[in-house]
Amino acid sequence: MATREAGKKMIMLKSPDGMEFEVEEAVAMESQTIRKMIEDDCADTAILIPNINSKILSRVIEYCNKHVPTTGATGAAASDTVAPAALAEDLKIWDAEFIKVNRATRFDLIQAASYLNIKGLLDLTSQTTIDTISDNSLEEIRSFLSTKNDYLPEEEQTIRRENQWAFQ
Amino acid sequence: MSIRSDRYRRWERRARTRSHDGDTPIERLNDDVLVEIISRVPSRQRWRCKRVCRRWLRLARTLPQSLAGFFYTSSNKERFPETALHFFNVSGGQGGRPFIYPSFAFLPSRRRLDLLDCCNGLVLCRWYGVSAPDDDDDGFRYVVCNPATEEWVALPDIDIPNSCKAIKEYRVRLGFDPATSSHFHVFVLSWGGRHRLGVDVYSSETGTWVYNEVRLGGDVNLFHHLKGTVFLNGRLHFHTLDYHVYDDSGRWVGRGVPSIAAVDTDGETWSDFGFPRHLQRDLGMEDDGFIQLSQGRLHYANITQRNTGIKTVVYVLEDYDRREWVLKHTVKLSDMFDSKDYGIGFDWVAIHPECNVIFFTLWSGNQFMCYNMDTGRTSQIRTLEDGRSPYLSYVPFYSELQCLRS
Repeated sequence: MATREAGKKMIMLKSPDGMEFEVEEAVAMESQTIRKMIEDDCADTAILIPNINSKILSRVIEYCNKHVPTTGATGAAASDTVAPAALAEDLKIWDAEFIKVNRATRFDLIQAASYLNIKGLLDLTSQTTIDTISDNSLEEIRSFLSTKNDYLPEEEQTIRRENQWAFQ
Repeated sequence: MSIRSDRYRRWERRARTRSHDGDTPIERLNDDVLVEIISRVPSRQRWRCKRVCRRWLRLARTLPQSLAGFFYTSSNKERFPETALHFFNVSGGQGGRPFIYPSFAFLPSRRRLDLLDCCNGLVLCRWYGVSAPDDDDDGFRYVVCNPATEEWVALPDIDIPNSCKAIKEYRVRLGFDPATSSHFHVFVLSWGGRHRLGVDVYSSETGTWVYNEVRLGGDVNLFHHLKGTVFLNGRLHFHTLDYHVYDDSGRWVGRGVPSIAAVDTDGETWSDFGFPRHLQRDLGMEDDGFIQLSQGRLHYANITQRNTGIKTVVYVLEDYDRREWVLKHTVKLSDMFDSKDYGIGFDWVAIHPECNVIFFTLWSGNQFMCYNMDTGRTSQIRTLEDGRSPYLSYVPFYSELQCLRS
């Protein structure tokens, strides 16, 4: 990416509850959805991000700020002094802190990451859910998802049979 | 209307209202996001998603499914009907009812139905109308159907050269990959004599057959008519037997050597799919083995009798573009089953699409077995009365397809 001499280009993001966030274009472009809008010249003024409230949007921006590739004058200096492996380790620790949120927030972040198409954030936020599904009993999974079993007993029996394997 | 269905509808209504309320965070997630999450759950564990609740079941079913079981045909001259279609589960446990009843009652009535191939939930068959005379082997239509949605379409007739028909040297296979296209292709490979292979390809998108022909390098034969093919990356992969293979000193190896070829959906680009020559020579293969798609990769398994005793070897195509075959698993045949049974009706059937499990038959198809490459354990799945090849593996596909509306 070319270094911008005349300061960084800024983009305005608006949440449906009326909050506005001014972010660097490079940060906003961590979202493939926003990148596409910018590339298609649909982002002259402010971009309205539907369905994502200001609380969640601010967290998403916080994530993108941290994960935007460090380029340009300050970035080059940083990567001269810090080894890439150390940077990656630092990011991992930061991610682990970032994801310490309650379940409702995490699901909202998943929805936001999916809508804004931010792969790293989607990986990070959905991993706990995927691990929970892979490693726990059905009751634990339902309780984690706060979802109710809406099967009739005979339906449940059918689904259960459908998924037992004869060769285990 | 029965009491049960009334109760069912009330239940459904309640379930619907609840999910629209979106009172819990996970229910606020829209279908696309949930499908994204479910698709990231390792396929071995994905069945759990189906059991969470109805919404998750519906969504999980939009993703590629797991192997449900096998179709096969039994044949016995001492009974009526002489031949019959069957299905048995490999999921669903022993004793469960078949996942699917292969009566194909949704197809128009017919005198006979031959299943030829299954590919990602679609089934290709030869359908013989009731008015076709018993001894008329040619009076059929090719039909592609989806047993899960009961949709079907009959293909326009195709002219197979009489010379091919006479010696039955043609193979008909189905190519369908819902991850890349909602259309299917049917391939008819015909053997036009030395060096020449022809292929008719039917595309459900254009609704027409297109014929192409190729001269392959060596003196190449078509694969056995019961062997499976693999549809991957828009190409149909199949066996050939190459009779022009020489060792390092330039001596003819003295037999046909298995090779893998592929043809694309235009019937135009053919490739000799490079099963490495040195492997072919070193393995000293007696049989042409079989190819399968498992975990998204092309697999090749065969039996080798060279030096260290009879072994099963399984290769995987690690890098498709560079055609890099890697030895994935090897096991002594005597550790797989009592190897005196080898040769008495031993036959490959399939490799599980998601797991390291090989299915095979012993004793002329009566014993349907599986071998787990991870645990090294062999188990018998069931005994099949009068069973015979081919055993077609079936992975259900629940989406409706425009191309199957006749």
